[in-house]
Amino acid sequence: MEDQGATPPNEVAGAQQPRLGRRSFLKLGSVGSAAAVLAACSAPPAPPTAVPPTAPPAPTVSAAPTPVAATEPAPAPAFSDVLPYPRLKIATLSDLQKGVFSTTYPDQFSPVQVIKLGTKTVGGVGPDGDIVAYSGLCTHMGCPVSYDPATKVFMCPCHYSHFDAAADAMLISGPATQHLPRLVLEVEGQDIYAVSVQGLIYGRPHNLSLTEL
Amino acid sequence: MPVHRPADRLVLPPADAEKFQTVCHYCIVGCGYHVYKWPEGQTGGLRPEENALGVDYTSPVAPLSAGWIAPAHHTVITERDGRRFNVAIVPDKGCVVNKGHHSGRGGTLGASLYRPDGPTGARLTHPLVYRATDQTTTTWDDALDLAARVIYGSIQRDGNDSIFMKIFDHGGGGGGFENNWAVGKFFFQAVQTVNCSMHNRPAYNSEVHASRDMGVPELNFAYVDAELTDTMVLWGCNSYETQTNFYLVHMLPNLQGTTVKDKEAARPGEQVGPGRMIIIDPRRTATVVVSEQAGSKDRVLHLQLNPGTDIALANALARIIYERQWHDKDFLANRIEAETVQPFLDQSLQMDKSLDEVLAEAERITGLSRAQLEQAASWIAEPKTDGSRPRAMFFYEKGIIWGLKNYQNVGSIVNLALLTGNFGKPGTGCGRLGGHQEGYVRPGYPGPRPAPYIDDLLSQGQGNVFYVVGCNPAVTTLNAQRMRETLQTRGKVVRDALDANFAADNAAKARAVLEAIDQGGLFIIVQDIYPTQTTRFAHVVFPAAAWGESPITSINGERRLRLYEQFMDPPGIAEPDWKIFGMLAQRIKALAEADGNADLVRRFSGFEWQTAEEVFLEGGESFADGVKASTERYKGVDYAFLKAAGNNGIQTPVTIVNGKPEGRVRYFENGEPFYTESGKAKLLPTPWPGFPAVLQAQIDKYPYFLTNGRNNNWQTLYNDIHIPFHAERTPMPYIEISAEDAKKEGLTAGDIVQLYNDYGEATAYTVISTSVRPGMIFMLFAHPRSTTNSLTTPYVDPEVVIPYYKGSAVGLRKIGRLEDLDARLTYHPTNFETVA
Repeated sequence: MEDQGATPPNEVAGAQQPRLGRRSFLKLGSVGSAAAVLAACSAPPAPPTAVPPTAPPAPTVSAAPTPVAATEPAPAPAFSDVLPYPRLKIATLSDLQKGVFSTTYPDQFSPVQVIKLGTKTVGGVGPDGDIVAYSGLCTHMGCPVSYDPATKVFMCPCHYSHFDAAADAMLISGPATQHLPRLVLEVEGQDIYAVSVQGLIYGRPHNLSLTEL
Repeated sequence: MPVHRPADRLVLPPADAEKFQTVCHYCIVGCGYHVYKWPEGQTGGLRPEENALGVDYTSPVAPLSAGWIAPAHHTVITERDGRRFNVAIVPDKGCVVNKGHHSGRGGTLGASLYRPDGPTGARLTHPLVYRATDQTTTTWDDALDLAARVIYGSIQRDGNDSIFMKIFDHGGGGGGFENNWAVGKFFFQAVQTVNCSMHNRPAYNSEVHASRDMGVPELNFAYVDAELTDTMVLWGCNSYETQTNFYLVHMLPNLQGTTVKDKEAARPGEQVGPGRMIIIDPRRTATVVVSEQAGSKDRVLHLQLNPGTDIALANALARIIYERQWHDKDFLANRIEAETVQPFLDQSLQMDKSLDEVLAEAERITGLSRAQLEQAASWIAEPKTDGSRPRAMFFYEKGIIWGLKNYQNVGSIVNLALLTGNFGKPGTGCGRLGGHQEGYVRPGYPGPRPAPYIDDLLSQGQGNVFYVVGCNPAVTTLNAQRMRETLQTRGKVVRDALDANFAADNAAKARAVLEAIDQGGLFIIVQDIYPTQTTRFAHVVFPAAAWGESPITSINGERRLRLYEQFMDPPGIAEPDWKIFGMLAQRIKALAEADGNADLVRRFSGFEWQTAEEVFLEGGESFADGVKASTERYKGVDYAFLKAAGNNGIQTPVTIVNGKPEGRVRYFENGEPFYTESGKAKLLPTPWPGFPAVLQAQIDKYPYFLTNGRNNNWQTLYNDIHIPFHAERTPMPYIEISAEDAKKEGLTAGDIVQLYNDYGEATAYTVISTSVRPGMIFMLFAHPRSTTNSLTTPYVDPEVVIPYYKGSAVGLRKIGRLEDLDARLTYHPTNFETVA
């Protein structure tokens, strides 16, 4: 899937899509959000890394994943091309006083680093438009990367892949074959929410394969 | 600034996916891979029994476990019959070369495969012929017929040597024993021309003639030796970036001390500890920085010598070692031709001068301090406290091979290895690290040594036909601007003739082409997998199959011979190189038969191969028997054997013992003779030559010394430019310049600059880096969008006709900025040292 832009749209929804693991696949069918249903009905579907083109679900106040309402009526059988990422509060603005804050998203096995770059950047959030977040696992062989706020560079201590946080975590050099996956963020007041991930997190076939949906 | 990111999911190969063995086709290291192929629309499950990898995806795949399929490992292909398949190409944990690791090159093998609906859809799919102002798609029969008529007519009228060629000679992608045998049989047995050249140089020669003349085949060690040695000498090679997994999987563990137990086992009774590394490079490369960080600074010595002064350094190190009596006296007495010792002592070590005089001169030439020279000599050869000799390995590559004077550059390093007896034991060896893989098997080249410098001859109007295969001389040859001018101006004479004869049949066209050649024209045939900067000058283009589209065999830097299986169709009607030469030879033979030309009928016979293995076996029969075997000798091995041998293959040269093929780990064990008449190695006199006049003139005229090299990307980026992950990081070449010079020139990172000298110009963006000292500029090598080789001089080492690619001199002009690059690129240098 290196070249997602060239993947032809589905002609029959679901028939040619990469099927997810059984557990997640079943869960996907039960997602009742308007966004998921909309996305499922549109052909071709939105690119899988795009944020659903509708308003996000109402913010949750807890850091727990948005619960799926078990009592909602099951929709008609449909396939969503958008993974049902949880919308989670991952940090507050005050957590970023040192320029970097470590947490996890979308599950406890996926460390992420939230960075306040100090200069406005495309897709940056917060009052200065400079807050970004990336997967903390090197895309080469999964070692946790370390961040140097002075240079704004991530470094993998295993094989020395380096990524430029100020350039969308682009690989500077090293054996990795993917830039660091990026979190899509939203800010409400003092709180920073993660709503999805662009790119594939190391060690999984899809980003929610370890998430209890 | 959105970069290219893959989807947030991928499909897994189901348990019953087809599985193939193969080897990455890029660099010399040759990492083993497995290819999984399964129909589009199917996927495996998360449980280990539900996917072909046997990996449990219900929990996180552990770091360093090599069980994960990265997005760049995967693509969707379309076969000739329209069926679509997922393909995932995953590093092989069981391969002793890479042990499950991949580099940025091998990690994107999947993404590099042909898919008509993606960027790699740019591949050449059909033959093209030039007619009526453009290159037009046509049939094999039509394109082959025109090429055959021009080649046949040219040989008949002007002789065999009127056919010029520049063609791969290597293993891996675009090569392999199969394709090399076909090239050799076509040009040496059938055409019989002397005007041949290797893909990356202007003549038909070895890049290591000196080592071979001294009796030392250049691939004489095994990768495991780097885990077992005391001191690794990396000379003119940036292995972290360019031989990544040899460095990461074998050298680095030694530097970090994790192989001490293996050393104790392999070298019982000897004092051993963590390894040391001496890096000799005019640049502070990523290899230097990573080695210092990952290992320990006190076990890494970077000798940042003045460019082009390697011979003076090697001679000085040898002199210190000899003076201190650290040389291997037994080895010198028993394994080296006695009559070669005195000329070496006289000319390389300058024994007529005192040590102080010699080292003072070496300090002046190399720019290194005496303390550094003494320390390096000590690490290489000073006996340990228990009296045992240290073991050292000497690795060299393009900094030496493409350095100031190839023959003495290589010879001076082999001298050091011989003087210190570093052959024939675990943890020893001296050889090139290699660029591409090897796979050479051909009939003997009919030309002299030194071979004709064909770039010069072409630019002077010689040659009727220029046949280029699997290389891109418009970008990669020395003085490349002259090559492009030659192809443009001489090619145009033939294009005009073809334009004027647009309605003619091929017989009439071929006559018109031969007449145009009389008027200074050059008929250009290019065979490749992509349109390149060279195909645009071609009158005939043949589309070739790539790696994975036809079986090949090759050896890596430790002579590991393996089978690279075919797992997909070539695009369109493309064919493997061996088959194209077979078809072309048969067509020429038919023309000769029609003419009753018995000589050419005979020469162009024997090209009716049906399978790759037929070609492989035919080539294998050409190897001589006996002890002094060619490095590549694989006689006695077939595809079934290699299939069974898997990704660990067999290390050549192969000998048949009791009917079974046996390989060898390293050369010169158990008293194996050196590869000379006497069986003893020869020392080579290697006096420091100084800079040639043609280069000195540029140095005197222009302010910056220009050098070049590669990064993680491969060669001309021929695949990488079609892989978004690679292409977006290097959309055009860059220079590296010191902060001091950048300030002087008013440059900030990202500024577009033009470099120029008397030979050509190139355009690049600016990276400010600690890799170069003030006064030196580095430029990325062989980028297709602007090539550093337009700035190299026509100078070659006259003894072997190998260019001095690594050295030139340039002026610099700031052009301005390309605003979109600021939003798309990182300007951090690839040696990871951010300049404030």
